[in-house]
Amino acid sequence: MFYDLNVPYSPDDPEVPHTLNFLAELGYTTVALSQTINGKLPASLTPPPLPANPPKSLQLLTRLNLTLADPAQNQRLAVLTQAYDLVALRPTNEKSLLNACTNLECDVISVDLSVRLPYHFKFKMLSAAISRGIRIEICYGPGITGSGLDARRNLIGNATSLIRATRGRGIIVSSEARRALSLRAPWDVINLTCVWGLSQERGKEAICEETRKVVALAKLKRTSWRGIVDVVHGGEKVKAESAAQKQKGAPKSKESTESDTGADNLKRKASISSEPIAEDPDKPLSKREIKRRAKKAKFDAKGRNAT
Amino acid sequence: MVRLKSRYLLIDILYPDPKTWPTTNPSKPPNPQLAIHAPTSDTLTPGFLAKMVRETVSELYGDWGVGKLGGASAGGLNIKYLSPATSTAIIRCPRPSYRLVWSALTYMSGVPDTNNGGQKRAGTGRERGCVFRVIRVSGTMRKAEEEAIRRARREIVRVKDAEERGVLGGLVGVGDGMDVDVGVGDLSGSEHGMDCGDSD
Repeated sequence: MFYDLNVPYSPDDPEVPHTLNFLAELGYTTVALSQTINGKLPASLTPPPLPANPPKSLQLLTRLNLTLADPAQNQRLAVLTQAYDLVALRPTNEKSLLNACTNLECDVISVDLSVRLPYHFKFKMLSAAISRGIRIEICYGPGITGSGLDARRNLIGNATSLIRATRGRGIIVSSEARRALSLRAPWDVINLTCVWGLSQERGKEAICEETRKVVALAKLKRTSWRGIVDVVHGGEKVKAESAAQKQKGAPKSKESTESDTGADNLKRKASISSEPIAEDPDKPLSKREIKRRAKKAKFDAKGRNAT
Repeated sequence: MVRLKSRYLLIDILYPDPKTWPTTNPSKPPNPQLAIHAPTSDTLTPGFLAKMVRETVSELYGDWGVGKLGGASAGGLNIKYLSPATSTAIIRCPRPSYRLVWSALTYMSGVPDTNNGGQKRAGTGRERGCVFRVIRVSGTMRKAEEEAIRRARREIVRVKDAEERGVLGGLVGVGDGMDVDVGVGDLSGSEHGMDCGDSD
């Protein structure tokens, strides 16, 4: 069960089937196809159509990468979370990273680690994000091929400092590979994280368990009520019964309040006589009901004596 | 008596780039499963592979890394087995530094390529893009070899399966699982079994 949660995707790319085939060959089981949006959000937000006949062993998800520069532009995150399976934020400066960690509703925070970052990662900030169920992502793709020496150095340095700051918790690793050539097999990635400073178990968690948690949590957030309660069965029959009970309960209480007044006995008598007909005969009486009836009978007797 | 301990890395070379796939039959697109495991050109010799790995280690880790690998006297880096036909190799390295070698392999992204057989391959210069995948890290060479044989057998069964299904169903499906149980009896000797692996 290996997950790769960041594969850049556009539907008209001819290389997509090859990339997916290669991912399946390497042993990945779940792949999130990501779409990146910079700056302004377009009017219609729908994920691009999934590729036709993907390999059978792959489960495909949709993901949105939203580049976050200033905190004022993220009003529609709630709409986005409904349209995509995963929503990732890519903060470009420290302020937006802080905002994303503490406030914004998303699933993954993915900082671009292949450039030189002018700030340090702080444990407090990142642990706030992790305790909210948001994971921090390391993308190994830009450091492996193509992007040159600087990207590789920055990636290693930033990944190491990220691992130091989070103390190895709550990190996921994904590829962000534009071509199939910069994908790597899961165990190679785990070894890479070992070299960067995670332990082997943590490295495996980063690509198996933590990513699974991200997917499961994201799904729970979208389908359930506040991420706590999910409706499995509507329970229609139970509902009808409770409604019937309510109907029965209502007139009785009215009667008991009326009987206290004792102003016009005739009216009360009439209503009492009509009552047992409406009642279900074979239902066992509750203790409360028995007491109420006893009281009513007492009042009845008193009323007769008076007349 | 102190024993020098080492690790054996079983690796295979994968070719994900469709531009570098061998074109045997132009009318029919190649089976992607088979093409990913395409044979490597014969210019990749054990010595050359060792040199490539050493160079990458020195690029990544500098002199310290090369020193950790150890020279010829310390048992160093050694290619024990290389089969261009199946794109499989077994590399021996000292145990304390196997992660260096492994990460160097991860960072490598090309093997030398010549246009062998007079075939034209568009888009390739001298380098052919590839991915080195470490399949197994083992303490003894025997286990690495057994794993290689097991894998080769499984690949044969998978490809055959896919072809049969392709004939029946009209679509060449990609294998739906990595764990196809091999119920085939004794195929043949070890070397032979490995060699049939990917010769299309």
